[in-house]
This record gives sequence, C-alpha cells and structure tokens, in this order.
Amino acid sequence: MSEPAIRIHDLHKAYGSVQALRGVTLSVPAGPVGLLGPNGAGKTTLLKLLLGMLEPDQGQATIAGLNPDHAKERLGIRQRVGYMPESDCLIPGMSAVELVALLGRLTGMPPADAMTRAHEVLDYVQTGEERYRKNEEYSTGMKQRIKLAQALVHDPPILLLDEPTNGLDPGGRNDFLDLVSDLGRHQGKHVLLCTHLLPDVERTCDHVIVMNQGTVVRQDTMANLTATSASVMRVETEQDPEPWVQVLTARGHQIHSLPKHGLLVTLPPGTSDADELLTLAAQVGVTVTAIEPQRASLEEAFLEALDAQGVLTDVQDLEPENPAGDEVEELL
Amino acid sequence: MKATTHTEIYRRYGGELRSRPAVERILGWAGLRMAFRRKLPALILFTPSAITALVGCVMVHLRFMLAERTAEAEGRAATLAARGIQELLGDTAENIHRFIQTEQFFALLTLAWYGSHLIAEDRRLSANLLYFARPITPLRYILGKWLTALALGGLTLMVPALMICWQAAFSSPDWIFLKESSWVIWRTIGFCALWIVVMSSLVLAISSAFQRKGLALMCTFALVFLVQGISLVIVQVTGNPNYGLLSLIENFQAISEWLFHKPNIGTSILRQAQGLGHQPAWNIEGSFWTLGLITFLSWVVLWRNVKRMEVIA
Repeated sequence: MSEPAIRIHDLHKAYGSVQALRGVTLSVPAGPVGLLGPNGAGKTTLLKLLLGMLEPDQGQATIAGLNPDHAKERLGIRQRVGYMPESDCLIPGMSAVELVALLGRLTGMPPADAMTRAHEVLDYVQTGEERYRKNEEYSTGMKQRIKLAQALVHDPPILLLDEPTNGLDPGGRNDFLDLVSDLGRHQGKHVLLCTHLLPDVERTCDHVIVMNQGTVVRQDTMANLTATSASVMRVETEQDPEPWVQVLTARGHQIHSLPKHGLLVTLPPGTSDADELLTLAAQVGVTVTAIEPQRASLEEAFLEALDAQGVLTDVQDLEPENPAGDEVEELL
Repeated sequence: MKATTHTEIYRRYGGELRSRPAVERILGWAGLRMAFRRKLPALILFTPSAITALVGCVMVHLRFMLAERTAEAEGRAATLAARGIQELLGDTAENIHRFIQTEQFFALLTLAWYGSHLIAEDRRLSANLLYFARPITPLRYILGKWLTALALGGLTLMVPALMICWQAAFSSPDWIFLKESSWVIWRTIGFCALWIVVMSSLVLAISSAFQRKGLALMCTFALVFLVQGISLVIVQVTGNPNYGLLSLIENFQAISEWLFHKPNIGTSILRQAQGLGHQPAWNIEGSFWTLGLITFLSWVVLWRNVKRMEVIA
C-alpha cells in the first residue's frame, strides 16, 4: 500500500468559543478520498490548516511529507498542492485564461509555459472559447471549472477540492464529477474531495472519511462502507407476496415491503442461507423473480457512523444542494 | 453521448517549477495591466496629468526660446517685451515646482482610485485564497501590490515631471540647463520618489483595512483632506503653527519649497491664515519625520492585515 498523502495527529482548532476541530487524527491514503460531513463539520477548516492558511491550536499535520506550520515548508506544500476554494474568488476584470496563467506563473512556471498550460487545463475542464470572457461574466458552473483549472495549472500531485459541485445544475455536476473521477482514478492525483453531498463521494471516491462536529467519525474504503449484507435480501416476486410474507414473519424474518411486489427480507440472527426463502415461496405458490443481497448505501453508513457518535443529524443537512434530485433515496 | 476530443485529455506538465518565482514583478505587472483595462477611468485620470505635463513643457520651451530672442533683440521695446514674458513664465525650477504642486492632486486622485482596490478587492472576493494557495509570502504579496501603486504614482507624477526636465534640457541653449541647473532634476526625482513612496504606502494600508473599494477611497481622501482641515482649525485655535505637521499636504509643500528654494505658488491655506507668507512654519526635519512615521505606520498596518489574509491565527 502506498504512503499516505496526508497525516494528521490530534489537530484542534477553535474560532473563539466555537470548537471547529476536536482532536482530528487520520491518515489520508493515496487516490481519490471523500471528506464527508454536514455543514459545519470542520471540513473547510481542515483543508485550510493543511495549506497553512490557519494555525492549529494543538496537534500537527503533514501533507506531502511537509509541515504546514513551518513557513518554509508551507511554501513547498503550496507548490505540490492544488487548492480549489469553495468561495467565489475569481478576480474580476481578468479572463479565465489570464487568471489561470497568472496563477501558474505565481507558482513558478515560466511565462510561456504558464500560458500554454493554462490553455491545456482549460481545455481539460472543457471551457471552450468562453475562456476569453471576463471572470465576472461566467455562470456558476463555468466558475467552478475555472477554479478547478487554476488548481491544476501547475500539475500538483495533491488536489484539495472544497465543495466543488456547489451550485451546479445536474448536467454540469455530472460533467464535473467525471473530471474529478478521472483525476483521482486515472491521472494518479491524490484528490481530497470535501463535500456534504453523498452521491458525489459515492461516485468519485475509493475511500471515505466521515466528519461531524470537528471529529472524524469513521474512515474506511468505499467498498467496506457499502459492503453487501448477507443477512438482508432484496426480493421481487411475480405475484402478490402476502401469503409468503405471513409464513416468513411466523418464522422470525423481518419484512419491509417495496414497490412492485418487492420485499426487503432480514434473515433471523444466525441464519445466512437464502435457500429457505425460496423453499417457503414454492410451498405457498409464490414465484420469486429476483433475489440478491442488499447493498448498504453510503448514506446508511454515514447515518450509522453519526448514530454511533450519538449525534442525530438531519438528512437535509447532507444534501441541501443536490440538484439531481433525491439520489440518496434512490440508493436505498 | 458527448463527443470526447483530444483537447479534453489531461496532460502532464513537463517543465520545472522555479523555487523562487519573481512574484512581486508578476503581481505588480498584473495589477498595472488590470488598471489600464478599464478605458474610461484611465482616460479621466491620466488626461489631466498629460495636459499639465504638456503645458509645463510648452512653458519651459517658451522661456528658453524667449531668452534666446532677448539676447538677439535689437530694439529696446522688443527686449523689454521678451523680458516681461520671460518673467511671467518664471524660471525652469519654478515651473517644475509649480507643476509638481498641481500634479500632486491628479496623482493623488489616480493613486487613490486604483490603489484603494488593490487589496480591498482581494479581501472582498477572497482572492487571497487563490494567491496564498501559491508559494507567496505576505511580504512578497505586499511588494507586488506596492509595485503597482509605485508605477501608477510614477506615471502620474514622476514621468511628467521628468518630461519637463527633459524638455528644459533640450530647449536650453548649449545645454545650459543641464550644466547649471541639474540639481533641479535630482531634486525633482527626490521629491517625486518621496511623495510616491509615502502616498502609495498610505493608500495600500487603507486598502488592506477595508473590504470595499469605495470605503477605502473615502478613507484616503478623508485622511488627506479632512486632516488638512482639522490641522488648520487646531492651528487657528491654538495659534501654534507646528500643528500643521499633522497635514500631509502641508508637509509635502514645506519639503518642496525647501528643495526648490521657491515659495509655494498659491501658499498654503494654513500659512495664509497664519500670516506666515512664504516662510516655513516649522523646521523641515519635522516634515521628514512626520512623513517617515506615516510610512512606517502604514507598513505596520499593511503587514498586520496581509498577514491575517494569509494565516488566520
């Protein structure tokens, strides 16, 4: 397994009386990683601490092997990291290509390289001819693309993306997530995607860190978090399953009805064999057309993690700006 | 399905990043380019400067031309007329001094207009998140912004003043201006440099304290003109002319008079009120100390605010 791109140990940060981070300790592995949490969980604070834009009250972090608390190492970090801020920070009066080239030069690129590279990354984020318009004339989607381009201009190995899909329409969001996914999975970038949108993480990341109220609640691979559960089966029947449901209930199975003759059957503790279900269905004359283990959604894992912390979080906090509709529900 | 073209492929950067890029120069030049991007303010702010410089050049040229004519004139009437006009035009040092006095106002307008947004806009838009995500230290960021302000001040004050000196050098017969009055050029450069350094530091410090360009602009004018008025009132009330040291305008006037050995053309309101005429109201060292203190305080404010833009403790 490759070396973690980011290591954090017992990081604390408070803004006055508000404790933003409470002893965060984690190792961020290589590859695309989702930093997931509701608004106010401390995600942006963590990113700013990693870039040395904030000073921690306690604890330390290393990113690309460098410590952001040391002034000299901080500058080294900033050459190795591409940061896409959440806020609308594009400088008015400049065109996208000018801004990206300027930031490339400020990172240490020669003028000609910076301009060539600006065009390359703007091509990559698909800005087209609009790159010559003034920054203040861009739509939200275009601004997000330009912010990604400026983070990529110096080809950094680590990318910190802060709420990159905020305010995007469904089409733009899909395109943007494709880019993030490509960068993380095919271009070898260590992407730390900081968001409160579960589907974004589910689609683009291989590893998930769940934060809430300034602490890391859970950290695992996406595969583990959404692992199939052998004790819950998703079943579809041809006819009305009511007779079968009665038999199963009598034998200790828990049943949840789904639309179109669908059922979610939880096997009794100690049972993992689904053959019995089929036998009982045949006995009552119900034809089973589909049966498969139920896969946990990221939202379930997320809520479970928060539940384990003893915190109830309103689901609305997780996806207030989900323009694609209620994808989380679809996943359930 | 959306077509994918070769342009959408991610390409690696094959070059090497410089460990210490010339951040100040890059930021300074970018700021200057942005300033001239908007044509109307540039036209409004730089035209008066250009016209004043042109008038200054013409006056200097006329003066030397008439001096030549006077020497060649045969008739008494012609000689007297030429001398009269010559006296009216004044000598070159006086012309440059007069020009600087007028030009300061236009330079202040230009510097305040452009300078007030240099840092305030970055704060308002959170553009500092873009800049300080790059290998930029607060000092180099300040120097970059300061270079823009210096260039703007230079373009409105120093360049036109040197144009007049240039004109004088070329219009004077046998390079007499360069031979006998070269001190005017050095003192012009010295005064303009002092003015630009002090005012650009002040304007940037004010810009760093606000998130709105308009507020920074108002604060700049308030500091210059309101303090001038207040110092006048204090001098009137107390009868102590040393309170004139509080005013930036008075200090610059005192220094320019000291440098060019010329009474100020209009004589400041303060000294008129005091009946001091062309006499300096205080020791000239006091003016240098005051301006030095203002510059120092400006840099303290600037450093504190920009440091907070980079790292929030």
